[in-house]
Amino acid sequence: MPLEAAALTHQRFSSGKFWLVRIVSIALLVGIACLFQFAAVPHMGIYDKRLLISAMTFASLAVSLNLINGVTGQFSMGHAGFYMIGAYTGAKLTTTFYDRHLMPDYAWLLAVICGGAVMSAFAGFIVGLPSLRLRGDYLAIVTLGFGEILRVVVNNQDGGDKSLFGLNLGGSYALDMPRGSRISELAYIFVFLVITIAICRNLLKTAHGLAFLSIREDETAAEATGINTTKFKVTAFVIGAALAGIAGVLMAHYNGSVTPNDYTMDVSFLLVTMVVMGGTGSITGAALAGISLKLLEESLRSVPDIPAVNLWAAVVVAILFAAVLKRGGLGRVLNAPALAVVRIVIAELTLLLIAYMVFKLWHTQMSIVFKVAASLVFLGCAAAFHARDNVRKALPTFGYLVTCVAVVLLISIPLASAFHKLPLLQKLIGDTTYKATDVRWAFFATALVITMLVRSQGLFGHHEFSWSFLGRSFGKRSETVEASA
Amino acid sequence: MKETQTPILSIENLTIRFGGLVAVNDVSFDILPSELFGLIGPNGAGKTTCFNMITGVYRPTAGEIRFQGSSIIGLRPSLIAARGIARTFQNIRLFGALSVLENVIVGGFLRRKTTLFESMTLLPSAIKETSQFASAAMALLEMFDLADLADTRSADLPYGKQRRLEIARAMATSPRLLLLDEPAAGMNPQESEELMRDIKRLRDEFGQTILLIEHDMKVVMGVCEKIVVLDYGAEIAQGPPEKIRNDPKVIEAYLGEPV
Ligand SMILES: Nc1ncnc2c1ncn2[C@@H]1O[C@H](COP(=O)(O)OP(=O)(O)OP(=O)(O)O)[C@@H](O)[C@H]1O
Ligand SMILES: [Mg+2]
Repeated sequence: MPLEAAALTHQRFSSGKFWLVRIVSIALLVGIACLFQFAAVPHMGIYDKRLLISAMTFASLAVSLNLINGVTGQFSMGHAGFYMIGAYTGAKLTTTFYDRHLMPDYAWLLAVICGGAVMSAFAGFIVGLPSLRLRGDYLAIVTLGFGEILRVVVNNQDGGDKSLFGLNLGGSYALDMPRGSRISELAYIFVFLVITIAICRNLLKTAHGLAFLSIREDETAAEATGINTTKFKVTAFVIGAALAGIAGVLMAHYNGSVTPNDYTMDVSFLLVTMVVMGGTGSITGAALAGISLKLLEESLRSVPDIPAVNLWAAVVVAILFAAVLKRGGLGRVLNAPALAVVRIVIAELTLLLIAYMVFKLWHTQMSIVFKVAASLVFLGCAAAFHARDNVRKALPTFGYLVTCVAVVLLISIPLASAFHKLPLLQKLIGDTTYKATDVRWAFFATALVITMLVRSQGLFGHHEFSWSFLGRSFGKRSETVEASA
Repeated sequence: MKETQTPILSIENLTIRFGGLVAVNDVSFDILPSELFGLIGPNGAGKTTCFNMITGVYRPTAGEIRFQGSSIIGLRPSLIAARGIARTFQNIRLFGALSVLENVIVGGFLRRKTTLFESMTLLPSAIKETSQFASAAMALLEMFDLADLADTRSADLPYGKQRRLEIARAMATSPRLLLLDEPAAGMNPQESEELMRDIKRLRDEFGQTILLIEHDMKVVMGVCEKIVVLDYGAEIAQGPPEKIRNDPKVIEAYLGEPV
């Protein structure tokens, strides 16, 4: 058995069916992208498209930050700065040269992407240098300062010819790009997200990736094992920054303008949150957290559209069921077969209720993107509930998590207005007529707090999503898996 | 015959001061190839500090450290590791979240030939190299009886196995000189005996040169051919075990413990 385990381990680092897997994955992704581009995008409204684009942009930003924060363990809080440098470099290059260039749009975009990536990478190099001396909180403060300085400098620029080198960045107003320079597309951003994930995943499949991880785990030991920690830390910053810069270029060329307000500290905070929520070091976790948090943040704007009262009961019941399913305190009362039946019943009931909630959501005015996302969450819950036992324990209990978040969102609105009617509080706060959307950040934060309480290691912990993992979760039980479990 | 060999590591008048404290004071010794060399002394004698100077963590205030004939003072630890000095730590330092196998693969990473670009694009060369590292790592794990735990998170290993894993990781760098800082600390007598047998085997079968710090005098006397004794940073005795055993200064330093 030890030998079998060894063989299994060995497989992880050998090529095996590597090319087959790679070709199939690429074909699948291209297929999905094409299907999406030609079947779905034409039917999407501007808002739907924008939602999807910002979700994917934030996912790729989260993945690139994850390389610095999660994988290499360098606490950077200035990722918005790299994003901003890319965006401004791209926008400035296009405003300056766009009318004069003779290239087709995609070639120009590619050129500008290179420009933005190089500038951001350079910034990453400069910002990475302090990481050689500073650790943890100290580095966080320095990088935070970097991001803010950039934004404040641009924000206070008066523009015009008097600025340094005549470099007009538009100041606190937007830097508007010329007509016809909105050459970025949803498909490009999708491809970029996939490339970002692929690069990071590839890295972690090789010894090089382990070198980055070893720095996070123990810098002294990594150095003593022959890893030049200086070089690797700065490299992580450079790669992460370059990827963020490309995201900036793509976003700028989708919006057609850039403004300093899009790159505030909030963005950096949100990105750090995404990395932590996804599970520090987990690439797929960061991507998933990036998409879902961005969508959650946006969907909260439409909270009043959700017929909250109708859903209350369903949500409460669902959360209770899910809680029972998770904690399984019934084990002491019931014998094994009865317990199994009860569990199955509870799981299916919970799913049914979540399905009901999703069904309700489809009948609101919210964007199709939210509806699809909610349906996917439902599918995720269904999959997680039906995965094999040992996998289910390792998996985030999606249903539990989702229902927790949902219950907070739904209950807190009426709760907040009820509280507000209490005489004491009314005196304290004074007269306000706030709407649910005004406090959406509070909901957002509460959802984060709950997720962290339920699953402090983030959605994926240190794990990664992979096809073989999916196979192992639902496929036939094989001896080796059993043995290693 | 041995006397004519050139030393692999030679330490001359090594001294380091931390503010007013002289942690290591004018220590000199030579280690010959394939020697099992012991470094002993009471708590706070400066043994770990010696290791930290040899591996480039601290820069000595005075003195010289020559490894294979050239000075290594001022080199960064990773470069010294690349030259062929590997170490373990007194307070175990594993890459906790990585698996046992991955820990050892990181050790082999020093010998890489592929570039970062090849890894990011996952070219066949990168995969091949990583799988070579993995097989070499598996072989080392077999040797240290850790093969069946290859997939375990290293932080989840029991204490004794963590110590063994740290040695395996150090060995993965294919060192010319292996520094072990109290490898048997915290082990029960049986584990400790097994470990010492393995350490001796490393030397006997592979000709590994080893510098060993050990608190327990009996253990050191059992395996080492030559011993240096430190007390309050100063070298108080040097020589083969028989000579150390009867040295009045050593007996005094260890508070008259019969050794
Ligand atoms: N970085 C440092 N700064 C100040 N003093 C230090 C430093 N490192 C070690 N020392 C001091 O140097 C002395 C020797 O410490 P060292 O750790 O080398 O002892 P040791 O022989 O390894 O003891 P032990 O058997 O307890 O491991 C101690 O008094 C310690 O406090
Ligand atoms: Mg010590």
